[in-house]
Amino acid sequence: MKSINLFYASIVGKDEESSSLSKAGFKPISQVKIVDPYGDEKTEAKPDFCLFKDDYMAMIEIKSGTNVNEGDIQQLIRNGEFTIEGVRRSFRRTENISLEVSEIESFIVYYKSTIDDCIEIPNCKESFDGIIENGILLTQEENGLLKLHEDSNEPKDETLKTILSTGIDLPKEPKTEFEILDNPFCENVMVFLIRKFINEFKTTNEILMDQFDMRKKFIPPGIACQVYKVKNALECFRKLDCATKERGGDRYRIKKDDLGKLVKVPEFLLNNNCEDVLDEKDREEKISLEDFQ
Amino acid sequence: MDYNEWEGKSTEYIRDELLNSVVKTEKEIEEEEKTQKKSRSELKIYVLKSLDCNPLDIHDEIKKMFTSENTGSYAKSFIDKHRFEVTELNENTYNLKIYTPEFKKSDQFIIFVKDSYWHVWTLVRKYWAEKTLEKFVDYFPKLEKSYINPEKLEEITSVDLGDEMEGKSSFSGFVAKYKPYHEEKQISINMYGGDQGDLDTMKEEFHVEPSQITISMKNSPQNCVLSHFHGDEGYISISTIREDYFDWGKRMADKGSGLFEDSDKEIFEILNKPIGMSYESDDLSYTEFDGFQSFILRPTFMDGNNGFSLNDIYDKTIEWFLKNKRGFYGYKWDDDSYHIIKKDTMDMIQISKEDDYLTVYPFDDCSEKTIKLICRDIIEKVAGNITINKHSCPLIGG
Repeated sequence: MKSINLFYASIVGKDEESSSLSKAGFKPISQVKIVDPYGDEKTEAKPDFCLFKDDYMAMIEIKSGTNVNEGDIQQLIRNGEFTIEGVRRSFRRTENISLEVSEIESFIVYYKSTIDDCIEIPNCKESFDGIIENGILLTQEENGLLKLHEDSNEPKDETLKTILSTGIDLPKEPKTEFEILDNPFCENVMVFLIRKFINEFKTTNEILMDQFDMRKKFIPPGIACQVYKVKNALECFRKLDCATKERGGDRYRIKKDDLGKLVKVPEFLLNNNCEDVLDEKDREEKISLEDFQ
Repeated sequence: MDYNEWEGKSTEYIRDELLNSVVKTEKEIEEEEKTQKKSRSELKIYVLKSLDCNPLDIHDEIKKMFTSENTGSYAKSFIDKHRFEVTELNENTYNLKIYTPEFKKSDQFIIFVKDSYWHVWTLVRKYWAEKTLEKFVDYFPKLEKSYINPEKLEEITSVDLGDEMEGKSSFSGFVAKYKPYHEEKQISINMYGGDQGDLDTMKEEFHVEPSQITISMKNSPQNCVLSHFHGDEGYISISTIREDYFDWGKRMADKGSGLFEDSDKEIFEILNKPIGMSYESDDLSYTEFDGFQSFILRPTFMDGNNGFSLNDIYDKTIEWFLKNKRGFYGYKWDDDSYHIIKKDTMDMIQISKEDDYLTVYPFDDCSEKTIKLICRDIIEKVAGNITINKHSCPLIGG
């Protein structure tokens, strides 16, 4: 997930002196899901970001792993098949984005080290070539730059081409603006919920909900997250004495007073995981967060 | 006198009356310089940022605070021990009276409302102003003290006070304090009549930054207006206006307080809150943010040998908020990041260490007041040699 937040830093700018995509005039949206009714068999794309400027639109996939996969190439091809009519139609009802799109380009972003390593490995080099053929390749590096790869096609937008050829400064520690991705891990859900609870406690002293309502209220609509994951997260909170379950019901109660315990959970999860907690049989005394250290 | 008598008077009249209180004769000024003792109280002008609040709302807001569960016990005790009365004098001017029954004391503060800033003029002595107005601002969620970077403080020039003052105003002394929580040593240097060179020496030797600057408007060699810019406490005080130089005094009051306002806005005004919104329809869903804001805290010098490396500053900052300061929760987020939460407001920030500076990222609709408090604490309790810059980026509508 850091890869998403790192890229976001190139949009908003590392600090008040750096260049950024927004300074260059590009307006972003994130966690996007678009259906193109005019595409082959109704194309669906889920780019991590879309950038808009005048009649230009960039669809951007962010990759966090250390590999370049065949699936990545397929994604790029699919994004490239998006028709202009399709995009215009999908965005027709939005208020904030007025669309006169006549140019769409497809980008993919990897960590610099991933690409540097990949080129050296013959199998991977093939995938790399597939990427270069089907989209525009950018690399990013913590405390480094977001940059257009030297072998990549160049973006058609001049400003974008210039700014990405020079490179955009990236921080070491970007802001965690995005905290949850599709199909998150249980630990991810827990940490995400803690932040949502904190925000909720601005106006209430107690949260009482079951996993369905929790998901509806707190997980963004575009994020795929199965209900059982939310349930597991809540069970973990309960086992860590941060939540209680109502008798004879499915609702979990988290109180503002529990915050002192809840804030210990993220650090706890740096060294432990949900499975460990869930496996512990319920005992008379609750698991103390200190037990696991 | 009871300032309520000024009801119906113009803003100009009221300001002139207050400024008149610090107009002194030749003789008085001589006597003061000889004895180093002030003959009268200084005129203080506090520049406060108001978060959508009018002075007439004070009573109701205090009532709300007193009955709310979220208000701390110290705040409640303060409200209990004082009474507050606000009278409107004219359209933008109010008299705030704060009564302290225990000491049978009544203190008056004239509030001039200028959009989202209140300029509060008072002749109350510092000792009592601290116990009444300053404490009130600390506890009242809709008011904050304004802030000025020490660097900016040092750079106040004649021009800031008006082109006509070119060459007529000079740096005339300073106070530099350094009270780190983690050291036994606490430094407070008061220099009367010192110059820029002296300040530079102090900075190098003691790692202090000026918290207060004295500026004198001269008709050489005489000091005609003597004023003190209290950067750390958000006010300017005018101690002397030589008779016949009333207009200079007026100029100092206006321009000086204006500087605080401008500086405060420049650094802390939150223009682009990172509020996220989601859009969903049959064939489209996405998230977008209103904007983005961060605060860059740059040490003006670093000295790894004396506990002043960026790492030291970062570590001690975390320690301060999580171990020493009351009212905050926090947890480690990444190698060089922590998340910190203010208990009473549930405001949350991320603090991260980059190569040359610390970045404070406010989450969601974190209040300006909390960010200011955090930044100020870092400067007052950890490392005084820090300049704050705001990084602000609109994302909607360009």
